[in-house]
Amino acid sequence: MTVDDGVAAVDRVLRGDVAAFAEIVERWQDPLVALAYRFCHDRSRAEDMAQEAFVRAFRALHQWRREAAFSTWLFALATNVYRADLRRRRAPLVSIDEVADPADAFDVAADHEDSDRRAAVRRALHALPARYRDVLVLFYFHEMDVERAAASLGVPVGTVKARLSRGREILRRKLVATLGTSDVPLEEISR
Amino acid sequence: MTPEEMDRVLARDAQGVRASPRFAAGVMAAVRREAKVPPPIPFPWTRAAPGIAAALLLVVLAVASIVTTPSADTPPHVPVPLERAAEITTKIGDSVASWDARDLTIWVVVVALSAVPLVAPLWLVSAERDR
Repeated sequence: MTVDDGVAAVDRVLRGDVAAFAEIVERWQDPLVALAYRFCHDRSRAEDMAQEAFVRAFRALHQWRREAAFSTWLFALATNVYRADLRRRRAPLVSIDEVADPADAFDVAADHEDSDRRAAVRRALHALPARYRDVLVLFYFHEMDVERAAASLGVPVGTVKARLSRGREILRRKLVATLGTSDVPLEEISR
Repeated sequence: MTPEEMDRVLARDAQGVRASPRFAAGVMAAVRREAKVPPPIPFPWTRAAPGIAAALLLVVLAVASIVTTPSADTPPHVPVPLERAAEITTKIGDSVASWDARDLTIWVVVVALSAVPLVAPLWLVSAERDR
């Protein structure tokens, strides 16, 4: 299955073949769990959130208009589920142990100071107001693609750019206060 | 911390996070459960339409009657049904005011007896639960 050719599986599900939904789950489970993890930093909770997103997608499959790619629709739906979940329950504090990904060779080799810095960045990100946090989470999840982040959030690209700029500026200020000074001018950061 | 370092940290966040091996099976179990749930019963708009229309009409008439209320110097015109209702209410009020102890006792007994069929099942359920 390529990136957006889940259409055949979707058609089968819509014709009543529930088992065909397994193909959609298989294809999108890792990205959806990873996105949920970016929002909550708790593996178990991320899977719960992703499961909820899949169940909602199953329920709302007939609402996919096919004007946008299936992945765009699925990520937008999942983003809504995750944001609603975060509004209901506060995100847990991010511990250094939690943020270290065992599968990541960089993390294994990283020293304690580097872990502290990464944990500080994540904490600062999750301390941001939701409108900035969500944009930043989706921007980095979509490999810094503003248009895809905008599609996932269901807001105009201009709004994402403005929030991104402002969010990064706030984040950078928080980090300078926490970790020390930065010699990079603010204008360059908030580009 | 430089912006590049910030970008690098945020871009690598959740890298390597994968769904657990049993995740897909769990999702499909939830999806199958969801598929078994009957679809929600749609609201019966066709059946409810006359009632809704009647209610709307009543609201419109009430608003219209308030808007067209005559000024203080003209005698108030009370519609006939409202006049009758006021008469009946007054009569009921008068008869209640003239009740004595015997009437009141009869009223209490009647109300208590009429409540038995309502209270008895609840009492039975509660007694069954305590057993």
